[in-house]
Amino acid sequence: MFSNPIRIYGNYSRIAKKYSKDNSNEKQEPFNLIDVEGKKTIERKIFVFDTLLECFMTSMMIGIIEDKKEPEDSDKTIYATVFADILGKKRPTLERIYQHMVLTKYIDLEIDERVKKAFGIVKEEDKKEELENLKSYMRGGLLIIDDYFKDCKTIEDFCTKIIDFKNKYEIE
Amino acid sequence: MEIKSFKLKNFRQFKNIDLEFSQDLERPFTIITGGNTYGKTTLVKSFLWCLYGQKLFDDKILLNKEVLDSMKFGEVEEVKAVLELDHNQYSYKITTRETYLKQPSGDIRIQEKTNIAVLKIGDGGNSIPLKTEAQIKEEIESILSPELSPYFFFDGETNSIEQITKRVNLTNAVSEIMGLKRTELLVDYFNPHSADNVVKRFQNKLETNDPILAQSLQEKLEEKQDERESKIEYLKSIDQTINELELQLAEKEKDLDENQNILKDQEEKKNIIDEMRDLIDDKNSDFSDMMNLICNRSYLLNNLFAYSFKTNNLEDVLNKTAFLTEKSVSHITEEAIDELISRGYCLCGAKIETHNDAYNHLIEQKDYVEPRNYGKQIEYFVENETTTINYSYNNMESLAEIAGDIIDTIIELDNYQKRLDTIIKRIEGKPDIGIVQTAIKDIEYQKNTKEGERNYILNTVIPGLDSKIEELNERIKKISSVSDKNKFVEECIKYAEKIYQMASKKITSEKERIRKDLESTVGSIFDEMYTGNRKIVINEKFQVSTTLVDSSKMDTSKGLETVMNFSFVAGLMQLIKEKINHEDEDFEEESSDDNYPLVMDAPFSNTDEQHIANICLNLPKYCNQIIIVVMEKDYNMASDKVSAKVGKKYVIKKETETFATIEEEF
Repeated sequence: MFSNPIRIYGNYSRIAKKYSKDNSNEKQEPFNLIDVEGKKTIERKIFVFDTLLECFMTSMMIGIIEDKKEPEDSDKTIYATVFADILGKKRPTLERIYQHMVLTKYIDLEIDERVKKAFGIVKEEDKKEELENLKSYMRGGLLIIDDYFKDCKTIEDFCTKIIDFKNKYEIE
Repeated sequence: MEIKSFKLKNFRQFKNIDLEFSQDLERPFTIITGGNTYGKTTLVKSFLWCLYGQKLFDDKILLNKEVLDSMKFGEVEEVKAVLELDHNQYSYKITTRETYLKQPSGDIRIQEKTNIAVLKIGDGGNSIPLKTEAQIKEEIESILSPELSPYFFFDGETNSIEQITKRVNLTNAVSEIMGLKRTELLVDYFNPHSADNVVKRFQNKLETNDPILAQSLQEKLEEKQDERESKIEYLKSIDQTINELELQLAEKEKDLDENQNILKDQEEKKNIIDEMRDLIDDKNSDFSDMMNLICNRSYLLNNLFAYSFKTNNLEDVLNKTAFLTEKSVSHITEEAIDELISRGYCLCGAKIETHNDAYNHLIEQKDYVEPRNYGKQIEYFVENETTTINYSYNNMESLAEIAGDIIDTIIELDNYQKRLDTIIKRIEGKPDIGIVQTAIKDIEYQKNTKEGERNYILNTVIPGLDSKIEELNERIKKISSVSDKNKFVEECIKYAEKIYQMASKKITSEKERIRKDLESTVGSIFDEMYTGNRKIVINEKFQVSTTLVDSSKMDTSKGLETVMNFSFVAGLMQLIKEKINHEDEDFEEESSDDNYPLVMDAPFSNTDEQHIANICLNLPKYCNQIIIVVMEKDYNMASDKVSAKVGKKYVIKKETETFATIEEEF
């Protein structure tokens, strides 16, 4: 399922690039925060994710948790791609996300069917659909992430958001 | 010395003023009030111009600006001051003039430099002519030498009452005031170690048995004496430098004293800036740590796995799935099953054919063995996510804690910035006390260096030379012939040496006596004036300080410096009076007047009401004439206590920026 590149288009690629460190060769909207040091104000360029893939994976999980799926953007002029070799390095994590998706979202299936689907080999004919499912959740997650951070103007705002995140997804 | 009247003509803003001063012992105060920039300091400084020709102004043109503007080309105008005073049994009229010429270019130039004329009138009204400049100078200096004038004329700007006890040149001043100067000159004259002294002159008259040796020894002696003389001269220049440095030090310390609040603010500003710098470092370090945890350590993603697992109760899958049963077999793989099917019979010998029971059973069994073994996989999944829950909880707690710390630091920084802004606003335009403190350290270093050099010359070089000079004197004496003339000359030498010893002893004992008297007198005056928990101490250089009477008690009384300085001036005056009545059987010092006026500009500006009252009530006991130029509001603070002792009161009226008058208030 993860042997081909993952690519997203339009607004979703814009969001993913904005909060991720890589893609330096592509046009990127900066995520800048104001830091005040006494009378001096400094504009700091911030990255929430070290890689585009980390952003993809986190968005997938947020989309799954929040049950938010979004269709592909029609604007194909801008896009963000994670190539297969990079995906290969994170295959266990990607499979883990897939397992969470199947176990928590495919509730129409009997429990053992879900287990078999989550942990078995994905059938060739299902691969495209399953990947699309994941990408839908990823797009949903990206919108949530953007809603979360887009109003942050200062370092203080950003820290407040991090505390909010911790409280929202707190594990008792 | 008692001032009767003072007139000014065209002197800066004063075109024409005529003042008479109270000479009533019951009402010794003359008060002159005026606002800021009305000319109070100018008035006090004009006395010093009249007495000594001192121009203590940046602008050396003294002529009134309005007069200057109205002058035609080629016209000449004069600036004049006339001071009438009594001193000892004489009356004096001191007239000081300077004339100005307006040139065709419109520029003004001094035509005739400051010229002082003195009319001295004796008891019977007979005038004593003082013709030469030197005579006039000597006469005025006999009334009050310029070195002593700062002790009686305080302009509040170049010389304020607050500085008086910080002066270092007090030894000379006290010697002069107390009449020791003449004895000191006598000591110098008879000092056998100096190059030109009485003993040396006698020695030159001695006849010797060995003229060649005597001449050689005499030359060596003179060489050593010259060397000693040059060291003494050098010492004087060092003393002068030390005095100048101490004056600079006093000035800087005054700045420091006057700006204690600024100093406090500047120190606080520095502390806040340091504190803010540390906080910014902490914040940046925390932020960097936080971003590292978010970006590089996948804290958010792991927390989402844990959250999904927990909230969806995925642990329960373990209980619900049928895969995790006794059907699961370890160490058997799907490949092994495929091989059994392929060979057509089982390990137990049962035949395996497509879709027979054994076949179907083995196919079903594939889900329970490696690699499918869903039971094992779900078990591993649950185990893995349970671990994630455990560490992710702690990770997110520490992440939130760091974020919270950053927010707290930002708020703290904001508060510090507000405090800093307030302080910066408060000290805006004020002198940088840090620079003053550095200057003080620098001056102290220079002073210590000079003092070290001075002590080395005084305690090592000069005693060495003295010992050499004595040795040479002894050798010269030994080769002298025993003639009647020599006997007489030797008697004279012994006589001169005796005078030197007596006078030196006298100076030492007199200075110590004066110090003790001054400490006791200033101490009792201070006790009368000061309400706090302190007493006066005067050292051998006549410098005054205070110590706590009871160190266990706090002294919160205000105006300590001012009271101490007034006490010192009053104490000096008291000793002058006592000296006049003091007769010494061995030495009769030069006579002097027993009274001096005090002329002061704004002397109470740093003092509280209680101490102003104490000073005003006690000062007339020691001083017969007190002329105070003061702001009306400052005088009002003390007027209740002083008014009964005010003999004359004047008000300065500012007509324009360049013209002020002084009117008497009745």
